[in-house]
This record gives sequence, C-alpha cells and structure tokens, in this order.
Amino acid sequence: MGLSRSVRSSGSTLSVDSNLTRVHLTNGLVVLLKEIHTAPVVSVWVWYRVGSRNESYGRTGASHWVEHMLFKGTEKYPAGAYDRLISRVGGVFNAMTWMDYTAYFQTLPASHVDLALDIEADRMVNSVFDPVEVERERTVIISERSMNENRPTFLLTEEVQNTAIKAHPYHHEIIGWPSDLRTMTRDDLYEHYRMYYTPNNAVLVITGSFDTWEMVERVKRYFAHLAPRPLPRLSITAEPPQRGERRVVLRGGGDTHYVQVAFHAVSATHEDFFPMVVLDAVLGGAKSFGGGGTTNRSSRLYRGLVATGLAADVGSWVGPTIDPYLWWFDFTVNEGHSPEEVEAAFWKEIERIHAESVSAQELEKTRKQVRAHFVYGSESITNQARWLGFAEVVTSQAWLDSYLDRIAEVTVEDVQRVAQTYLRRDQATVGWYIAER
Amino acid sequence: MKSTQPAWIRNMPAPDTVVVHRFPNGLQLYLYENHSVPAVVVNGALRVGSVCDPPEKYGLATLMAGMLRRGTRSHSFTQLNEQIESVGATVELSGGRHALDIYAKALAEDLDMVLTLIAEMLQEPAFPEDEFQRLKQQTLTRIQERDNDTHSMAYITFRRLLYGATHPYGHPVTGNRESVSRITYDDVRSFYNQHVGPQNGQFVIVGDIDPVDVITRMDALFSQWHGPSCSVQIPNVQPPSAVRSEHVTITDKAQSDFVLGWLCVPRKHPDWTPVVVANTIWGRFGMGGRIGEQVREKQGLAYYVYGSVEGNFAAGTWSAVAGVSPDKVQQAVDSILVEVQRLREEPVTAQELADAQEFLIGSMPIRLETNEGIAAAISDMVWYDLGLDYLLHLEDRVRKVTPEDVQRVAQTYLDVDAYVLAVAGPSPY
Repeated sequence: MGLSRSVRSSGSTLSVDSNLTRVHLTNGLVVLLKEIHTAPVVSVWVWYRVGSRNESYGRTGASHWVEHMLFKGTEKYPAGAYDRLISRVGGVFNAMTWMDYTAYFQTLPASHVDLALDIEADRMVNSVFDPVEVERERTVIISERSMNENRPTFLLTEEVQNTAIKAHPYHHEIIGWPSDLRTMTRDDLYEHYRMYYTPNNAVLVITGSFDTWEMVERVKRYFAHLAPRPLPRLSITAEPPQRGERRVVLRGGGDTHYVQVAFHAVSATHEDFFPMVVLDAVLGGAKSFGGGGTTNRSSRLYRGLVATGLAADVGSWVGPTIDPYLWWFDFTVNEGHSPEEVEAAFWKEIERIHAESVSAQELEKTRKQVRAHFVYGSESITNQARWLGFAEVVTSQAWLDSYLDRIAEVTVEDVQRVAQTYLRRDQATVGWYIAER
Repeated sequence: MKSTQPAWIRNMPAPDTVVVHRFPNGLQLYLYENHSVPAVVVNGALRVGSVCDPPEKYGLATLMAGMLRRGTRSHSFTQLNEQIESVGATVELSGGRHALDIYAKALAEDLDMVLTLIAEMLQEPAFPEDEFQRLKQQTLTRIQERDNDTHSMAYITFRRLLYGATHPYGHPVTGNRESVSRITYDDVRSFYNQHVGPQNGQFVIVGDIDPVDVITRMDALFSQWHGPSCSVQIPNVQPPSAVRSEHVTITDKAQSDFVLGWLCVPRKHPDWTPVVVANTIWGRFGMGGRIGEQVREKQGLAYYVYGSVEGNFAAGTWSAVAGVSPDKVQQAVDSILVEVQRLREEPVTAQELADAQEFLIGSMPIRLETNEGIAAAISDMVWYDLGLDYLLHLEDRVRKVTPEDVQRVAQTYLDVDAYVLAVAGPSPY
C-alpha cells in the first residue's frame, strides 16, 4: 500500500483520551497528567490565569514583567540558580506571557522531575522581587521592546490593534507601553504577583514518562501545602460595537510598505469560532499546532495577491481567546506596487466569498490540513503539554477534544454567514505602513 | 530495529539504527524509524549552493533552488501547491551556502506522493518564465526588508568583514540587490544544467516508515538520475590581525544589533568539541553563559545576548551576538571582551565545566525527540562526514574536555586586540 507500517497511535493525539488524569488539590490547584512513554523525558508546565487582559492603565506590561521576575529568585533559589539547575541536567526551559495567561515550562530528563516541581512550587509563592533585580529587568524589558520596535510590522500591528480595540484590555501590547515600563515600581509588580500567583489560579500540567499515581503523590508533596488566596474581582470593559471603518497610516524608514487589516473576532467558545477558523484557513492557510508551520500558497489570498505579484507575502490569523479579539490579515507590498492596490485586491477576495462562499473541496482540504497539524503537534511531549494547559485556561478540555469534529461540521453556509457578518468594511481597521527612505 | 544505545536515550541515530542505501549515481539515502506519530520528515541536500555563484551574480543558486519548486513538466506551481497543501504537507526547496536544501513534512500516508513530487522538481523542472519574474520580484522585496533589518545587516556585515566580499563565505546566500537584479532567466536555466545532479547528495527520511518500501520507491525515482555537480575550492582566510569594525547606519531604529567575532574551526575538526564546550560556558549555559550574566543579568543591557559557534567545510566563526540600546554598544562590547580575556587567562572552574558538559549531554534526548530533530542530527553527521557513530560517542568526547582545553581554544581563536565588530543601527554620532 504505502510506505508506512500501519501503526497504532500510542495515545499521541492532541485530544483528550483516557491517558489524561485530572486531579484538583484542596487548595484549588488543577493538575493534569498525561503519560507518554516515547522518551524518558517529562515536560512540566505551570499556567497562571493572568495576562495582559488583567492589566489596566499605569500597569500595562506588568504580567510580562512579573514573568521575567519569576526567574530572578526566591530565597531558596537565588537569581540565576534556576537557569543553571535546569540547564545542568540537560533541560530546556522558557516562559511566555500572552493576553489570557502566563505559562512557565521546563522539559527535562524524567529522573529530574523533582527539581521542576520544587522550583515551580517555590516561585509560585516565594519570589522575592529584589529591587536591584527589578531595575535590571526594567532595562532588559525596554530592550525587548526596542527590539520589537525595530520592526515596522510590530509598529503597525500595535497601531492597528489599539485602534481596533478601544476599551478592552486586549488593546495594548503584552509588553506594555513605554511610559509604564519606565515608571512601574517594584511594589506595583509585587502586588500584581501576589494578586494572581496563587494555587487556586493555576494549572499544573505534566506530560511524559512517569507513573500517574506516583506523580500525584509527588505533586501533593510539593504543592498541597500552598495556601489559596482570594482572587481579585476583575472588571473588564467589554469592547463596544465598532460603528464604522477605522484607518491608520504610519510612516517610517525602510523601503517596504505593509498593509494590515483587522476585524473583530469572537471568543473561542462562541458558535462562530470554528467557521471563522475554517474561513481563515481557506483565505490564508491552515495554522499549525506547534508542530511545524505550513505554507499557504494554495490559499485564496496567496492566489489573489502573491501569485499576481501585488504582494511578496500574505498572512492571516485568528485564534482562541477568552474574550473576543481580532482576526488579522497582513501583507508585504511588492516593490513597484502600492498599499492601495493590495488593499483593493484584498477586498475583492472578501467580496467573492460574500457572494459565493467557498467550495466543498476547500472545506475538505481544511479538514485534512487541521488533522495533519494535530498529528505534527503531537510529536513532542512539550507541545502536547502546551495544548492541554492552553485549553484548560482559555477554553476547556472538551473544546480541545472536539476540535476536529467542530471543524468538520462547518458548512459552506456557515462560512458565508461568517464572512458577511464579520468581514465587513465598516467593521475593519485598516493600517498602512508607508516606507519613506 | 533494536539498538545498542544508552538506556536513558530513546531515539539515537547510530550505525545500527540508521538504514543506509547508496545509489550508483552517488546519491545516498539514510532512513530512521520513529513510530511515535504517523508522520514523516524528509531532509535532502544536494552539493550546490551559493559557493557556486558566479562573481557578478550572487544569489543565483538560491534563485535557482526556488525555481525548481515553481513547476515541473507534469505539474504547474499552482498544481504543486494544491496537491501538497491539500493533505497538510509541506515541500520546500531552498538555497544554502554549500547545499540545495530539500525539506518536506507529511503524514506517513502521503510520503509516496511527496517523494514523487520532489523527484520531479529536481529532475524535471519546468522553469516557467512568469514564475521566474514573480520569484525574482519577491526575492528583491525580501532583500529590501533584510537591508533594513539591524540583526540581519549586522550578521551580513560581520561575514563580509571576516571573509572578504568576494570570498564564497563572505557574501549573503540570497545575494544583494545589485547582484540579484542582474540575474536573468537564462542564467537560472544554465546554472541548473551546469550544476544540479545527484553526486554526493543525500536524503534523510525519518518517521513512521518501512525502510524497505522507502528504498524501493526512492530507487525507482532517483537511481536513473544523472547530472553534473559543482565543486568549489574554498580559499583560506587569515584571521584579522587587528580590529576590523564597521557601523551600518540604519535610521529610524530603536535598537542596534551587533556581531563581535573571530575566525574559528571547520565543522570536522578536532577542536570542535572543546570550542563548543568553551562557548557553552562563555555564551550559552543558562541565559547566555558568562556574557549573558554580564551583559543581560548584571547590567540589564540586552534582551538577547549569546555566544555562537558556526562550522562549515572551511573555517567557521565564533562570535557574540546582542541587541542593545544604540548608546550602549561600546559598553556591551567592552563587557564581552572582558569575558574573552578571562576565558583566555584563567582556566574555567570544575563546576562550570561540569555544568556545561551535563547540559550538552543531558539535552540530547530532547533534541532528538521529534522527527525534525532526528533528521537534522543525521543530516549533519552525513553532510560533514562525521560518521554515523558521532552521537553515540558525543558523551565521551564532551567528558574528555578539560579546563586546559577550554583555555587553549580560547587562546587560539579569541583575541581582544584582533576581532571583527559589525554594528547595525542608528548613527553612532
């Protein structure tokens, strides 16, 4: 038949199956455990339900800065100790702050899992926030922001984002505004940390080579005694409806122009989310689940704008979020062409979908692409842990479990309806970056 | 296939776990089974790259590689894209310095289709003229973006200063604006006819495969392929005898990026492992080793700073890379040079050495977890003729390195009075 042996999948899918064990500690910590015995490694993640969504004026960027500070020491593990301890056993580690969460992980040989558990339990509640270290990180984070600002596309995205979103905290960049980065104090950060870093606001995910019930006992040894704390009442302003097209124009250095168009999306649990994901795949290519990117050369926007020479590149994105965020389309204008031409061609493609929807064949292609991406995404235990944690804090395990089915259920009528409802000029924020050398 | 690997590491490419098949035309095939998911990765490399570019036409090999993907005698570009993407696969051809790289990822059930298309691209490209115009334009736009990017320009300038603008290692693989503008459609076709063939080429295929079936299929697709090759002598280069420094001004930027570095060893060299261990201590361990400790952790000067070792068929590089505020470049450079001096003058501590060794050895299972990781490891071992037992003996080689070795390589390759410094960002004045 083919070139592969027929293989029994060893529980290696992104969906929940009987290999997933869920435990709730009495202090509120949610623990998700999934045994995957493909290699003698474990991946340990802690997810906190705090991100830029939880930030208001004067404190933008606080969640990201707190993430940095969690590497800067507790009494037991002083600044720098964590990096050395994990590296010296061959582990890899990182952390990420996003709109809806902050997550920390280390993937390391299974025999060293205690180190990971000890560190995570310790820094959850004992991070010191030494003022000297806070000041050092201030310039590091300003440097990170500068690195981003060097890219015209970052500048344009920031502008489009906070024009499209006026009221909801999703409007500001995760890294925060420069003046907040200059003025936030150590106590501001420590307060943010104490508000949100508590076992009853966290999810612990462990995948890899271990015995579930033995691991449950280990986890209890490290985490069960941590006291829960009441969580702050979160007041989030819901974004009001957009009442007409918004446009921004940036001018700056370089030779290359860019166009970005953002529309309002829906939250991950809304009934229109999966039709949106499908339409996004048809327009700009299906997106990966962390197992490797794929190309989008058979997508509508590539064929309409890149294959015709107007744009050198086209991308799109819509993703799962707690509150409604944005649906993005971005273009690199080819030399000799203008932002006007690119934008006009984009609207033409959208209007085609308004009028004719997409084909059944395109839907079938999307289903296959998403299926393949799920498989690629399961290759690493780190990535599997990532998706379990993500689903827990942003949506639910059931959402992840039913993802492929929900994609498969989307019809051409659903796609047309979603295009007509959300991809409208009066709902768009259009940004141009015009390079002026 | 059982293997004699250490118990703590599951995937270990080694002579008894990699299936090797050599075609009479010089093409070699390396196969590794990994049945954890029903997917496969293909890493191919032919021996033709930017080192073969004619002097006026840097970027030709890269453009040619891109053109092979743009249509075959049996499938147009559009048809290729549709067929590949409709099953969620990826097939990419790209130009490298010494290699034409082929990368593919697919579900195991689609491997046959992917290999068939790759065979067509390499052996029966159609070279559609309209696609050439589009690809050339896209390339020029990307070069335009690159020339405005501080990180890329620091790196490109570093190589030019270290090797010389006309040295095969001294010009960008994708070329520059002037050279790519000069490249014609006929140039690309001729280059293909003169240089693309199977000799000394390799394919590494990793994943949910049956090696016997793959060999049969690859045999049918590639064994009758005959073609020319490209052989290039890489001239020797002298290390700088003084400071060679250049600032590329790019206005309207918030940060400057720099590369500070030296000439170092080829990939297959007895000093490679000591250099890697030394660099791990100096520039990698934890959050950027000693230079990370100084420049980021203690002084808060940079979000990213790390040490990097590159090796190729001829002399490679050892460098420090960082992005800092434009007025802090000199401070960061000075701090790094202080750490160079320290590495040269004082043996590293036993603890630092042990940490670096444990990191390099212990991180192997994680690097070898995915099909990508395994394929990359095998590709390197084959491409640089390191031997399929290279990883099997990595632990021994790393553990053998002593503080004296680290000091010796620091003294041999690093120098605080002679180095290349390339900075890109706002004007320093």
